[in-house]
Amino acid sequence: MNYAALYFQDLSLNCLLAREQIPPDRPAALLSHQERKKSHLIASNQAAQSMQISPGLSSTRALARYPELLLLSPDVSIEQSTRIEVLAFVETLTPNFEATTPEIFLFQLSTTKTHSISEWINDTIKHSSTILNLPLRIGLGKTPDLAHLSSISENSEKPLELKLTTPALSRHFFIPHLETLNLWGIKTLKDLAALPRQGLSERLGTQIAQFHDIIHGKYHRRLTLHQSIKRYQSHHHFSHPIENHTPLLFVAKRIFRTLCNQLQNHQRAAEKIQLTLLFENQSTHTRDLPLFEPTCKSHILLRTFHTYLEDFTAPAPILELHLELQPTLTRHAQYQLFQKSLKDPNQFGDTLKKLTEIVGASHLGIPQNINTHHPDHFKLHPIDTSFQIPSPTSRTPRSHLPLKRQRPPLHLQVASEKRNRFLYPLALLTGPYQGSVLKTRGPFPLSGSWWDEGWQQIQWDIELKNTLLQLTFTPPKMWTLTGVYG
Amino acid sequence: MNLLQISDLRRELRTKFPSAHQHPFPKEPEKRTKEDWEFKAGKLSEVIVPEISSGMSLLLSKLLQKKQSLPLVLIDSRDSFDPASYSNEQCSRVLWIRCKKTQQALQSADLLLRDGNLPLVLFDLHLVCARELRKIPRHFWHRLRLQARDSGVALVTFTPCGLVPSAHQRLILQSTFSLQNLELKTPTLSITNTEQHPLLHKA
Repeated sequence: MNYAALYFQDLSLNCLLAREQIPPDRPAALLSHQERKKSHLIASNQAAQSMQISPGLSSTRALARYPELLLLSPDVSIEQSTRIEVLAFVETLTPNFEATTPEIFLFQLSTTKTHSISEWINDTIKHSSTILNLPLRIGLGKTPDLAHLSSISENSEKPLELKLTTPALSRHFFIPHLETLNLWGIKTLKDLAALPRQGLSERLGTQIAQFHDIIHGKYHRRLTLHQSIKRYQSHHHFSHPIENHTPLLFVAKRIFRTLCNQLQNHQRAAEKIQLTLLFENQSTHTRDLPLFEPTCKSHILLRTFHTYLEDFTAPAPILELHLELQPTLTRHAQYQLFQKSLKDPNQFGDTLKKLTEIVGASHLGIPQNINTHHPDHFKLHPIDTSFQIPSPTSRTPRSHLPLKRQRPPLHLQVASEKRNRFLYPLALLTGPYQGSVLKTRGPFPLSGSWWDEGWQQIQWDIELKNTLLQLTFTPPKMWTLTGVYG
Repeated sequence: MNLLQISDLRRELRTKFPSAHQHPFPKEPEKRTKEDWEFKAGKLSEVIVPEISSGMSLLLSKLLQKKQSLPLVLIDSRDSFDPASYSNEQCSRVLWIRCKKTQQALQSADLLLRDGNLPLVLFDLHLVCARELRKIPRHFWHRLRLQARDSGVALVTFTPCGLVPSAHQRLILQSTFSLQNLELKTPTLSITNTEQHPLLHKA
């Protein structure tokens, strides 16, 4: 026997009986609704079943059969808390199990710490009745499904004697063409197993043939292991309030190492650190520290935490540190053979944070021209690891030679003369590039936002000795140096 | 027989029997012509821009034309990069750090070289005045050189005069342009490799 199945029979009814400490020999049943008259029975205990009170009966009929029948209304909160207790109980038996239904748990016997199977079964049933106060059936089998069948049958040693019409069987397994089988005189699983597989498959289809394989133990499926929802968190209470971040880092290092080990064991990585600090004046500070790339390396988490603390000023001495890691699936990137990617995205994320502190968030990014004629108007996109920005619109530069822009524009005194409607620059009288203008290109009148405040200017490209400049004339008489070509 | 006679004899033999004197493995012409201004990974290069219009922006434009999987970094110490002078495709290949003060630019360069994730860092000190450039201590450049070596990042500084004592290569931009280059004539970049340029610190 390789597999075991734990069957907590009629959990929703038995949890209510256990909570109210009703003895198991008293007939009891669970109603489908709160209102007694309109509802029917959805579960009944063994004492009630011995009086022919089975699920599906209306409440009035059930009371007619046994007037002292205890009718209970379903309680979702009690049922949920019992399910959590049951899961915790199963986790004490084995770490790897399949929660097939809320009542059935399957696992390999090799994962449990047992020397004698009979002793283990007795101990488990005993613990279940003392700890959970719930009836438990244990079934064993060479395949998971045979163990499952064994657990739901009355005689667990002979599961094939289970009748095909048993409600528990139809609740847990899908048996197609049940009526046809009944007409053929097939009453039990043993009868079904005696039929030839090929004939069954030809007459009733492949689904019944698959069930035939289950009964014969030929179908051996893999267990879908239960993954409990776990919170990766830890906290530390300082015996003396601390006033600098060195002890905080020391404790955080230890916590991160433990939490990262837990994450690794569950094939998860952290995508965010949730930090909570409790201060001596009873105030708290909570902050989410997102990571550039999911990781389960404690030194990267510590570095992110350290970077944050460098700029953090506590309002009072720190009493308690609480750290929680937000788990996510580990990143499986397909690295391109001929394409470079970031060596360490998390470190790059840290560097970006530090750069943002130095120059400001608005002064760092990937520039993109926007659709406007207004000079020096563009957009800076923030950066992520993929360096992806919205698909750029094609825009060709105005000239072959790029400009080095003067920010802010430098006011100049310019000697000029009026020709037609425009003032032509003749010489620069002030500023870093003084001298007579050798050649000019322009004027280029620009204007816009006439519906708002409006702006208007005239651009000139001028050539001095070894220098190409861009001048802007703003009416009525302001000349500015806006850039240098080359 | 003296040396002169031997060389005469060899010359005579070569003219009489040229096929016997052919090289067994004739040298193939080089397929790839390396540009002088290729910046090596892990090295510090200095590009001297002596005049204001010597072609620094044009060099930047050429660097941005190359398709790369990772963007290059431009540490703009005087916030003078003009996105409108470049196509949007070129702009998408640059991570622009706009600094107001030289100190910000120096800190940014230090951080990016230590980080080592982006392979090419352009450090534009071209518009910084000589007085401020002199204030940069020599050991700062030494530190950058070591960081570049460790992280494998190519650092290219643009300076108005020789400034970086530990530069692996020193290039000088000597392009001259006219107004015709703005629209009619495609401008050409003139770069020469130099070791003779006096350093600002030495001067």
